[in-house]
Parts: sequence; structure tokens; C-alpha cells
Amino acid sequence: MFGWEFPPNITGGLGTACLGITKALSAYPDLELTFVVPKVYGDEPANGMKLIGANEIDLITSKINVEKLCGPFTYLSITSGLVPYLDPEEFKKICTGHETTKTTTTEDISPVSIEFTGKYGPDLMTEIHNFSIIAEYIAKQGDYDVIHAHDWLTFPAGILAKGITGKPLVVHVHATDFDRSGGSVNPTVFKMEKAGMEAADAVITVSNFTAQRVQYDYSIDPSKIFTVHNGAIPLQISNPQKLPPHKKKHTVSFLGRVSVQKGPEFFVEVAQKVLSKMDNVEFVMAGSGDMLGRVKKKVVQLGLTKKFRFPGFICGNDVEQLMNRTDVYIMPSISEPFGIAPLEAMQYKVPVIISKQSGVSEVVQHAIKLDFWDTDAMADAVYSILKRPALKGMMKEKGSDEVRNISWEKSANKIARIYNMFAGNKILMG
Amino acid sequence: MKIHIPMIFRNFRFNEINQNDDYYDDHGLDYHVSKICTDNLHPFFKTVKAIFRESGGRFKVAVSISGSTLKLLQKTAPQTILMLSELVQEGCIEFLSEPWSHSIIAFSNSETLLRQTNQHDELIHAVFGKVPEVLIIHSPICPEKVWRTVQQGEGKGVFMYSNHIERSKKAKGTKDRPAISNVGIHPVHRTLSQEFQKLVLGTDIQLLKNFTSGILQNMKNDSSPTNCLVLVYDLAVFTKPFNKNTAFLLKATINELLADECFQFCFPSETKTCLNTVFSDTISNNDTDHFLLPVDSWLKNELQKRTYAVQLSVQKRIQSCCNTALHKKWDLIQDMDNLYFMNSDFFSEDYYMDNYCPYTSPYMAFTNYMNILDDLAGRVEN
Repeated sequence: MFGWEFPPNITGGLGTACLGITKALSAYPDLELTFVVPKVYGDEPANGMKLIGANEIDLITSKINVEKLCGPFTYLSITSGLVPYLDPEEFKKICTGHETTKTTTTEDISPVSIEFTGKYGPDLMTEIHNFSIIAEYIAKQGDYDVIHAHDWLTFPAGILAKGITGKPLVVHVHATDFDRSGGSVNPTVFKMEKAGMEAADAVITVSNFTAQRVQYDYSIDPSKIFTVHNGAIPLQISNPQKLPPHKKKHTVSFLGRVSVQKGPEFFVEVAQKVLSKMDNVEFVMAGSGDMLGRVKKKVVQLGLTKKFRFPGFICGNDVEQLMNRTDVYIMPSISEPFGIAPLEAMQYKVPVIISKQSGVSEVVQHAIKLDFWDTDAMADAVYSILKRPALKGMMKEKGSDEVRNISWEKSANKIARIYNMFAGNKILMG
Repeated sequence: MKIHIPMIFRNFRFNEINQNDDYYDDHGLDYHVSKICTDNLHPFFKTVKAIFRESGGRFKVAVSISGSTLKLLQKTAPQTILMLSELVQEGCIEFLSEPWSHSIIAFSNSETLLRQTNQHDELIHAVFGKVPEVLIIHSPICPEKVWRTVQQGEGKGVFMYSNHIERSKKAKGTKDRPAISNVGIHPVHRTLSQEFQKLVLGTDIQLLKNFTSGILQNMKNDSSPTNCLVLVYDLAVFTKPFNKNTAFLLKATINELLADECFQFCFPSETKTCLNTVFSDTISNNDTDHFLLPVDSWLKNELQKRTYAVQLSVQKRIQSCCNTALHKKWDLIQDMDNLYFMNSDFFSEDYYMDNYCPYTSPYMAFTNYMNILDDLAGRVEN
């Protein structure tokens, strides 16, 4: 299995999904899993699988033809503003002024291993290429039954691995460039996505919404597309913050990348409409991204500065703290292949409003589902949840009950069945 | 035959509360009414007329139509009113009495029920020249002291659903069915409309035979020689049109009943004089539990309970209000279908296949209706 990131070193939902899938798949005794990422940090959970960092492969003993690798090698570390899923061009723009780079070329040293950042830096294409070379080598070393590649970053790796081993390739589409870019597709990324899907024996999509996109926008044969919805990892809500039962201020939250895909400007519009009728509400936009500046500017222009908080990118305990004080969570995404965050909010017993243009809307009933552009309806729903305890109470209880049944085990079961289609039913199904 | 078309509200937003009292989606309502009339009511009326004629007048139908629906049809579908008038003149239908609004609130007290039934009956008389003699209760809640006011004060017979009897039994904690003598109560079944929708006939004649004889057997299990069964055909809840297949099924079932000497079709007014009998244990048994009206459809989840509580509070306040325009508004918006649309079954997309609901989820139904109730409550307060 090839992935680009793995918790806790993640910047988005891809890593979380990979954790959920591998953890649930590792429960199958007949299934041996090897997960390859560009870089291993050492703090990843064991998870019952073999985790390999491409950066750990010794180029000398492996006898990988270094001429195949792209140079100069660029060691990049991003100090802030990490944004997952952006195309390389876009990322270059964002990274300006925020990065510290150290560049070494092959002329300076003979590399023993390749130093991957495993991130989404300006040399992303170089890293993708180099990762695919290492992946090809790793695939050749073992006797694997199926090759599984997560998202376009690892599709070239999957294609090469398939080529060298002749084993079936499963590509897993967590998002497409249509979703990430809001329609302004990067031709290079599109080409890589399409090549991966075409080379694959099976294409797994995280929702029917994405399956449609793969079929129509990438012209992929629908008979090899399989929808496997994401699940939710049960949260260890260890230290619930005790909030006063009748806190004076209501909190409405947005948690995610502040980019066009996530519809942050619609969140501001909703806030404006709610605040025209209610005063005791604060709106929290947690996350960072290329649109953050524009959103802040809009908030200032609308005179809502005192009602808004921008804590930036948060994770871990900060998320828990925010959720504990949140009365309504909104995900107004323009195009969301799945969207795991609302499931997490539901686990915290937070009523959620989600865009109909999301994969998660296919698996939850106890959320309010609206068109991302319908900010009147969204504001109406926020008002109703804040003002009417019967609605809020029912959404909290039913939502948290519902999300317990949306598990990664179910997703893994479907994935295992897909593997079995190509691996001669080697995996014993429960 | 039950005809009730709920008023369809437009998206009434929270920022319109106390600003705008135009609640309706006129365009959507016109379309919905026209579709129901064309797809269901008109073909059903034609079938009823045909069976009536073929049976030499032995087939008879009672019509339950809410006041709000009758007004709506007068305004948007006069052709349907004309067809009903023709059926009256032909002598094959008789109207039932009921509250003006298809609501639970209408049964909140005797005064409201009397006012609403009188208002309904007056309109029936004005349009069709007939005065209904038997009250039908569709509400899942109808306190005995309230409906007795109509039964005793107005001398009307009363039809109500079997579960009212079941509930009454439970409330009293008795094991046996209560013996209610000389009150003219008869159980109502909503078999036909539900069963007919499910069956796809095709060319299988045996399937048809099984279906009609099954209905007949259930009715025999349910009845005693002297009591009355009411079969409810609920036209407006259909999501599928009343087509040739359904017409054929209806005809076959009715003909089966007509051919059986055990059964005789009666108008409600006829049952009132001849069938005031003691309720017996044979009326509803375990085999026929599926015939019972699911009262939980209206008042089960927290949204429904809260909404009903707000409806009661508005009703309480509006009783002392002398603004007739507000009363008229209130009579139109208190429809119990607004509670039905919050039914948890609507969380499942599959449920929408067979059941009509103008909202995308119970949460949206609750939000929209509560905005309207808040607006009306504010106006009453003012």
C-alpha cells in the first residue's frame, strides 16, 4: 500500500483515512500489510502492519539506478502554512516567505538514501517521481498480491509497481483535482490522476459523489469503480471540558482548510445572516489556507471582527476544546469527496450542517444537509439549532448514536472483498 | 374515500418572523393539487362511478374531505368539485363530518371541535346541499369527553380508528375490550389504499385472487354479523398514480365483496340508525394488527412532541383572540401533516419513495414549521 502521509504527521484527511483503513485491515489474520510512505518519523502507531519510509531505503545496497532519480535533491522543511492537496503551482505561491530550504545536489554528495519531506512542497513532482522509483524497488522485493495506491501522489508509484510485478493495482481516490481546485484543474495533476485510474484494475472512491466524477470527468469504466465510504475512528474523549450549562455565548464552528474547496466564504455569509437576528453568537474558523487572508478581509468589511475568531490550524486537544464549546458545526464545502470532520463533530455530540455536495452526506441521516450556496437555509438551520433545544437535543443524541455505526471496519470489509476479487479469495471474510 | 391535501409552505426563514405572514408556496401547491387531481382523484372518481353503475347501486362510498382541502379545490381545481357533485347527484357518495382542519388541535376541547365541525358541515352543505350525519375522527388523539360533545350534542354517529379503542383499553388497565354501547363507534381500517399501492399485478391472475380473498378473509376475521367495517382509501398520500392496475384491483376487490352475502355496503347515515351495537372482542384481533393506524407517525419523536406542545400553546392563546383573520390562518396551518412530516421514518431516503413529504428531512420540516408557528404566535401576542 502506498500513501503520502500517516498520523500523527498529517496535514489533512488523507492520513486519517489511511490510518483508519490500515488499522481495520490489520484485523484480518490472512492479510499482511506493508504501508510505504515517503518519510517515516518514528512516532507512527504500529497498527499491526509493516511501515516503510522510502527515505530509509539504502540506495547502495538496493542497487537502485540513481540516474533514474531526479535531481537536484531538495530538502525542504516548511515552518508553517502547510496545506495538503494543493497542486505544485499553487503551493509555490503560498510557500513564498514561509519556508526554509536547504538544497543539496548530487554533485555535492553521493546519496545513500533519498531525503523525502513527505510533504507538499515546491519540489512535489520530484518527490513523487523519486518515491515511485523507490516504490518500484520495494514492490519487487516482496511477494505481494495486490498493490493499493492512495491518491494521485502515489499513483505513479502504483503504476510502476504494477509494471514490475504484474500484480493488480487498486487506486484509492480520496479526492480529485476538481474538488481541490474548485474547477481550475491543474493539467499535470489531472494527467497523473487519469493515468493512475486507467492503469488500475479497480478504482475505489470514497463516495458515490466521487464515483460519478471519476466516471464522467475522467472517463473511467464504471464497472471497475467501487464506492467504499470512509469511517470514523472512535474518539477517546478523555477530558471533556465542563462548560457552564447556560453559557452566555453560542459558538458556531468551521474546521478545515481555508481554501475554495471548503467554502469558507459561505460560512462568513451565514454568520452575517445569523448575527442580523442574534447577538450572542461567536463564529470560529479554525484552519489555515490560501483563502484565509481574503476571508479575514471580508469579515472586517462586514464589521464582524468582534464576532469572529481565527485560531489557525489546530489539532489534538485544541480540536477537542473547540468541539466541547461548539453548538453547531458547519461544513459548507463546494465539493467534498467525503469529509471526515463532520463525523468527528458528531462524536463530540455537536449538531452538524453539511453541504449536499459531499460524500459524507451519503452516509449520515442526522445532519442537516443543504446546498453549499444556500446560505439562507444554512443560517435558518443555525438559528433553529441555537434557539430550539428539541432540535439541538435530537441532533446531538441521534447524531452521536449514528456515527458509532459508521466504522472503518465496514470500509475495510469492502476493501478486503475487492482484494479478494484479484487475490483468489485468499482473505477469509468474517 | 379520504381526501386531504396538506397546505405546502414555502421556505419561511427565521428572519421573516414578525415580518411577513405569507406562508405558502402557491406555485408548488397549485402543482401538487393539480397532480393529485389528475393522477389520483379523477381516475378514482371515474372508477367509483363505474362500479356503482355496474353494481346497480349496491356499491356506496363515504367521502371524508377536510374543509381546508375543499376550499383549496374550489380555488384551484373546480373540475374536481364538479366531479364530486356529479357523484352526489348519482347517489353513490355521502359526505362525512369532520373538523375543518385535518388536525389534532381540533380535538383539544369541545368548543373548538364543535366550531370546526360546524364550519366544515356548513361548507359541505353550501357546496353539495347535504349535511353530514356521521363524524370521522382522523386525529390520533381525541379525548372521549370531546368527541362525545359532538356525538351527544349534535346527535351524530362517530367513526374512529381501532387504536383509539386499544388505547382506551390500555389507559383503563383492563384486559378486556371496553364495552361501549349505543354510541355508534365503528373501527376504521385503512387497508385498501396501503395494500393496493404495494401490489404489482402483472398477468398473474392467481395473485389477484389471493389478494382479494386475503382482504375478504381479514375483513371476516374482523367483523361480527352486526358491526360495521370502514375501509379507508387515502387518495392524497399516494406517490404513485391511480392507474389501470389499481383500478382493476379495486374493482376486483369490490366485486368480491358484493358477491359475498356476508357483506353489504352502507352509507354512514345508514350505519348510524342500524348499527349502534355493543363492541365485541372480535372487532380487532392479533391477525389484523397491521390494519391499525400508526399513531406514532405524528407524536413519537422529540421534534413532534415539542411542535405539538407549541401548537397547544398557540391554540390556548388564540382562543381569547378576536381577530378572525388570525383564526383563519391558524385553522389552515394547524394541519397534523406538519407533525407527520417530522416523522423519523423520513430520515430514510427510501421512505420518500412511497410517502409524500415536501421537506428533505424531519429537521427541515421542524425548522420551517416552527418559524411559521413563531410568527403566528408573535402576531397573536401583538
